[in-house]
Amino acid sequence: MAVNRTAIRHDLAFLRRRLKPAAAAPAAAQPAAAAPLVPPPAPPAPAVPAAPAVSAGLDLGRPAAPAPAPAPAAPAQAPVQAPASASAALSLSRPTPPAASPAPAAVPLNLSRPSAAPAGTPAAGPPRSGDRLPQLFPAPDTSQLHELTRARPLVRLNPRQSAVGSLRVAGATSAVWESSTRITGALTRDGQGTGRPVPTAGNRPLVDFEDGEALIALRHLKEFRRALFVGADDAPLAVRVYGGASVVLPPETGHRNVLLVSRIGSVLELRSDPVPAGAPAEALWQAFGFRMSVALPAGGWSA
Amino acid sequence: MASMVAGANAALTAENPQLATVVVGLGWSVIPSRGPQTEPVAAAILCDSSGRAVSDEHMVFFNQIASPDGSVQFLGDEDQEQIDVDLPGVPEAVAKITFIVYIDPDLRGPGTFASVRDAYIRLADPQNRELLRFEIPSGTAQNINAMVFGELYRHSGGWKFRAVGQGYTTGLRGVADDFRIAL
Repeated sequence: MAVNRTAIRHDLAFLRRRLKPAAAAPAAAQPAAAAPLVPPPAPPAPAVPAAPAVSAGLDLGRPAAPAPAPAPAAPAQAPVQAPASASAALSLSRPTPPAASPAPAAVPLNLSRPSAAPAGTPAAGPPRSGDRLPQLFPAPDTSQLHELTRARPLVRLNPRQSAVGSLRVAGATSAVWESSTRITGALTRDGQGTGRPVPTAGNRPLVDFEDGEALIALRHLKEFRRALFVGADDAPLAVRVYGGASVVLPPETGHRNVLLVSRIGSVLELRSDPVPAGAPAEALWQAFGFRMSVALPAGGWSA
Repeated sequence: MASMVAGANAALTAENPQLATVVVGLGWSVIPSRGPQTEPVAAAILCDSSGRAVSDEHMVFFNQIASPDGSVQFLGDEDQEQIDVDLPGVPEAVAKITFIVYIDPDLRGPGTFASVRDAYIRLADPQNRELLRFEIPSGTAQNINAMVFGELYRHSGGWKFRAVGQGYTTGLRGVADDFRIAL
């Protein structure tokens, strides 16, 4: 299979590693098997449904059962006017094209993987960028935005800023993190911890405090999912990356700065979300959906 | 397989006319440590005729694993890192591809190449037949935290490879300054 070079391969993050020689060894004598660049086969692309009975994946859209147009004066009654044959059950199927073949008006809940394409359907080829990763919505970068405010609360780092050295957060009094494997823990600037740390191959915790600053070990970005950095009341937070770019969360009277750092594929997004002053850290963690992992036994494992 | 010394070059495609894809393997070992450990990171920089990166996106490394045109990709891990270069697919604007290894500049004791042993760069064909190998000389790396291992460059319609082994004491920032890459 030829390597697709027609577009930037955002999906390559999932295809990074070639097959190990050991795995390919039994087939090494067969020249045709020596194709290390071939990515794993993509799931067969569901063809555009020719018939409405084919459920083609998650869709929360309103079923397009042919219904009379609601009267403008009473739009809220439109669902009631749907045909009685339409099931009231949740339907996640692709909207049914109007005037299609006689098929059930509503397809029951179906979260299964799309069925294989029928024989004769052209092969889908490697997954394209839109298949696995959504296109990121436009967001300012650090050359465009230097302060995160209520009006402009988000900035996105580029792949180099997101992966080199340490992301430093000055002014943070506590940090809570969640790894890509959902290990969650928290640490305060004075060293009080809960949950579990995320060790990395470099013998450094993924999120840590060093010299009074919170930081993320960006070499291990792929192990990172998100983190929350909480500042002091009426005090700023400042973020700096290796290349020198920085972003400040200015102080706001009666409020405490909170910075949420999330990994989206290969980039980090920084979002400011200030909260009223005095809010306890634990309540903040819960509000942002962090639930501490159970800590390992402090005294070690019994024999 | 030819072993190279620093500064040597080899006519890669002239001696291997059928070579279209070259696998560039970079490897090393790190002295184990109970504390923070040195973490080398490999990268490839696609340069124009002036020796500067064609764009910021033409620095290919673990978090930006393919050049915009797809001709240079991080794909394997048989060495520490493996980079595939599709030679015919490399845009004409690219005159040179430089392979570097930098020590990740984590704030907590990043280390230097003094902790790195047995570093090398090797070139192989897609069947993993090794064509060239350059063992990085050790013993001069006390303050070095980034190093150019080698470079592929165009020459007379083909490609040559040069073993470099040039160290930086200014880390990835120094590399980025030289190649005009915005970090």
